[in-house]
Amino acid sequence: MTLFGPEELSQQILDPGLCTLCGACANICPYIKAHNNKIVTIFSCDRTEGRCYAHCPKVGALLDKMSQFYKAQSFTENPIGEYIKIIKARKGVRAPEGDFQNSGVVSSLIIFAMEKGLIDAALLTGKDGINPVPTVVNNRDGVLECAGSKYIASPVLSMMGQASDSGIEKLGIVGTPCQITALSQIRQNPLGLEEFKNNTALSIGLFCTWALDGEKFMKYLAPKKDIESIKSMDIPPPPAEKLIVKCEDSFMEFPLNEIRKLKLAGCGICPDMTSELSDISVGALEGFNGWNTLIIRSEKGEQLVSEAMDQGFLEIGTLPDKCFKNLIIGAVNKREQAVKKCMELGMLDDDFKKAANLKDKQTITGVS
Amino acid sequence: MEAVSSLMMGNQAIVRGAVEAGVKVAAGYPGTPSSEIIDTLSKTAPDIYTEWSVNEKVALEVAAAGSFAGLRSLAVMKQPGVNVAADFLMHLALSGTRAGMVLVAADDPGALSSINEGDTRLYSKLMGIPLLEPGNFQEACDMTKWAFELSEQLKSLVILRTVTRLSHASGNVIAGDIKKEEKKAYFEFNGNMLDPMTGIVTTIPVSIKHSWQHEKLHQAGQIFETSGFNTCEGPENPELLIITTSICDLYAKEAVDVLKLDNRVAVLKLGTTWPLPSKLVQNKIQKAGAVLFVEEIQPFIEENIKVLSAGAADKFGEKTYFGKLSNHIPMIGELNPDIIIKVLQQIFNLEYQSSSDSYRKVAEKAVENCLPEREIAFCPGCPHRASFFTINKVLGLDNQDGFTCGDIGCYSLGILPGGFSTIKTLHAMGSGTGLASGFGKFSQFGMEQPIISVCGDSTFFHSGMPPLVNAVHNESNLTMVILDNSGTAMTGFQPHPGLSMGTDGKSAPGVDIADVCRAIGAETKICDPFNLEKTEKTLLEFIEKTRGVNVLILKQICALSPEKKGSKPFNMSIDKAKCIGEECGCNRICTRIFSCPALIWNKEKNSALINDILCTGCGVCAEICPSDAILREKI
Repeated sequence: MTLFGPEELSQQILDPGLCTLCGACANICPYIKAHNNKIVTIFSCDRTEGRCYAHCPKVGALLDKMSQFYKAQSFTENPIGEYIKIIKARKGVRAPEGDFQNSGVVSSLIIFAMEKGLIDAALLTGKDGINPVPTVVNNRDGVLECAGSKYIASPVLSMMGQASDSGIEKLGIVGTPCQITALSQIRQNPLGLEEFKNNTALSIGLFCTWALDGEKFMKYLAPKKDIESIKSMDIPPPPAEKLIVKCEDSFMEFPLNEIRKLKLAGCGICPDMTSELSDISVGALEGFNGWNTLIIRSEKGEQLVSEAMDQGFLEIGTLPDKCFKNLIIGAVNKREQAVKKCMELGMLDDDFKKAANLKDKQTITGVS
Repeated sequence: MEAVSSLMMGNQAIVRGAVEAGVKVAAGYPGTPSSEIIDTLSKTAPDIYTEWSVNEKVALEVAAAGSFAGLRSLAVMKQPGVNVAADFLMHLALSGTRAGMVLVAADDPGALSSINEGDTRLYSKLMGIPLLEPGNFQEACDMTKWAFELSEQLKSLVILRTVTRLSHASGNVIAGDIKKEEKKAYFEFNGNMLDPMTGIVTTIPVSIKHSWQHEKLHQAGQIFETSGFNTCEGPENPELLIITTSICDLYAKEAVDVLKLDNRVAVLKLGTTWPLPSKLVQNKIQKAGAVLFVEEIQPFIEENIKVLSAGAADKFGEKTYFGKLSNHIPMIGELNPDIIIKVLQQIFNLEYQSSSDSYRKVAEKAVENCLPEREIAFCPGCPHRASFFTINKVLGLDNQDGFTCGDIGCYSLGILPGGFSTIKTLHAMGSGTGLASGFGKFSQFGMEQPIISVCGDSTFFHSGMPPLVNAVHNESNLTMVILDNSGTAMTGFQPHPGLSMGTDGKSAPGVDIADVCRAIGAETKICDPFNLEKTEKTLLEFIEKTRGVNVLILKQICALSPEKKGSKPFNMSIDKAKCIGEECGCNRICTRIFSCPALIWNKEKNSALINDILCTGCGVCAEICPSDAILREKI
């Protein structure tokens, strides 16, 4: 992978609006920040190689992978990535109750991992109303407060440095495919930094087809509903085709074809539906209310699932064939559409990744 | 007794002249290059009422009150201040004065300490006010003294125009006697309404007062014909007559001397430049082959003498005129002897080289190798650096293309990279908030950019309040950030109405800025700009609030202020284990962006370094470093 710096990241991803807000570039960096669910640059940086670029799931790993698919004409191969086992699962009897989206599998696994000492704390997405807020938690209550899908993109990885600074050595992370891709980039230490410490002990990836652009969504909702009064949101499985906004004692429905217009443009170039680079991936299971699809990808993930079952934190079952087939179809579709979109945008052209012209450096000393 | 010559700065010579004239009232607003005049008076002449006024218009009014009450008075300001005072100035010129009154206006050719190149002399013509221009330090003293007499004789304000190189350079002055006279102030108003000394003081009836004004100017012209401040040196019938004013006289004479043209060129130095001593000028031109005008900023004498010459063409025919209008003298910037030498070389077709080629090469090499590449930056420990760092960060976080309207003070540097290029408009005193008030009203045309204005504490009182009132009353949307460093810092810590100290250094009632802003109706908060986190949070809340007028007062005393200078709250050091240089990924935000002169990047050691001598221990850089590698230890 060719490494560049923040200027190229802006030109290739941020300025064209292709960022999906994983937050990796804003992690530690004093120039790039995540604020109000946006990635912003507060001072200019003229580094020609930087973590911001190296960790970006869009410009780094993703594009290289897409190029491989494209060149080998095999982008439908393995559409849900490498895995050991794929099953259905739900929280076990010993796991606490909570306000879960489906079956509480993610919360149960995180609580179990924390209580057995696999992780010290977890980096999750909490919420303030319907605004997602990256949150570090280290107990059951904290995890339960973060339960439930958020639908709005949130810069979870921007908190990694802070978590590390606070002394957390074994961090569990729950993220969407772009976040998990970025996380795998971070863990590979692409700049070969001597000081690098990998403090990620567990990654749980979520299934994702797209996320909402927070700013656009709020603008859409504002004239229709008092945003402050909204408690939660839900997109029920097909064929519902709607988004339900729940308030204290009322709810509103919005047609999904309208809501889709408010998704992040960057989701359109994402080829990963199932968080292929996680230890464990979790997603919805159509037709089986109260169950989730669970993909075990690493030995660590396999061991965690096995122990969680043994200790009553997880219950599993066989994934019905039909569900598996539908999952593959969905994943292939997402990948095909992403490759098509990348081609349209010229992102797979050889000259797409080129060094920016850094003539206009903002440096007071003039010394580069 | 033999006269003793003393070395005086031009501004001190002006003070000496005013004291010798028995000035009783002096008022001004600080502004380079004029500030030393009121400063010196306030420190050396306790029997004179000296005042730093809230702005130049009020200073002129306070001084005029002195004149009306029978006290010789002085108003002092830099040129842009004359613009502020212009409205009253025009009326004062028409109403006339009583006791001698002088306006010292300090122009800044080359804009060395200004953001314009205004020429006060045009006001003399525009408003019909006699104008004097001292050409050296002795004249600065003598001419000031005479200006009071002239003013009394004419019953008109007199303008004395100085420039940076006269005000701030020093030369020998033989001081005269100080007029010691007890004066009781009393304002007469019961006389005949048209009696300038006992009636009401006003511009009406305009037709009568206007005709009087022309009579005064005519009288001044007569007096100027024989004034000793107009001098001519050189041959009686020169090939070239240089007509010059002010400090340019010295440049012209040096150029003539260097080129050994003293047998071919005469220099007519005019000290009384409005109204022009027309007969004197015509007489000199008549005997000359050609004329070169040497003056700074506007072609003022050039244009007006050309008008005179056109009227006298029948006497001495067509002459060749060189000057700004013929592109021989630059229209912009300061002049110097080298410029005049080049012009004379051109006119006389002379060879002259001020330095040898070998010397120039050595000098150029020295400049290249020895001078560090460095832009203008805020001083170590300057609160403005912290303030602009936060403003810039907040606008970046908000990410709605918000921008900052600047104002006049040290913080004008916010327009440069040293201030993170935060300021996007910069004009006159108070204009930042006026512009912001306008920008903040354009939401009906789809403008959604957040608007910030910055304004200093002294500037707030000077001209920042009216636009704030305007913004509140007209329901504009903006955040005014008042950078309160407790003094008029840029010009030398002169007090302003916000402080509990008067011009004489004694206690005085201070007007609280926050109280004023709240009374005007703006939501007002105060933060310490050194507390980056709190300042950021407060400003973000203001910016993200879409409607209304907010004021954020960032209060922290200037690092160079007498009460703070030398004190150091923190000892700063670098944690060498944590500052890992290029590996860090911070891209040297401390030295490349934050750019405090006390922070140095040690290239060899690939690490930041604190210059303990420069560091004021403000502690802010410790918050800038993303790796906590800058340590602060409370002293």
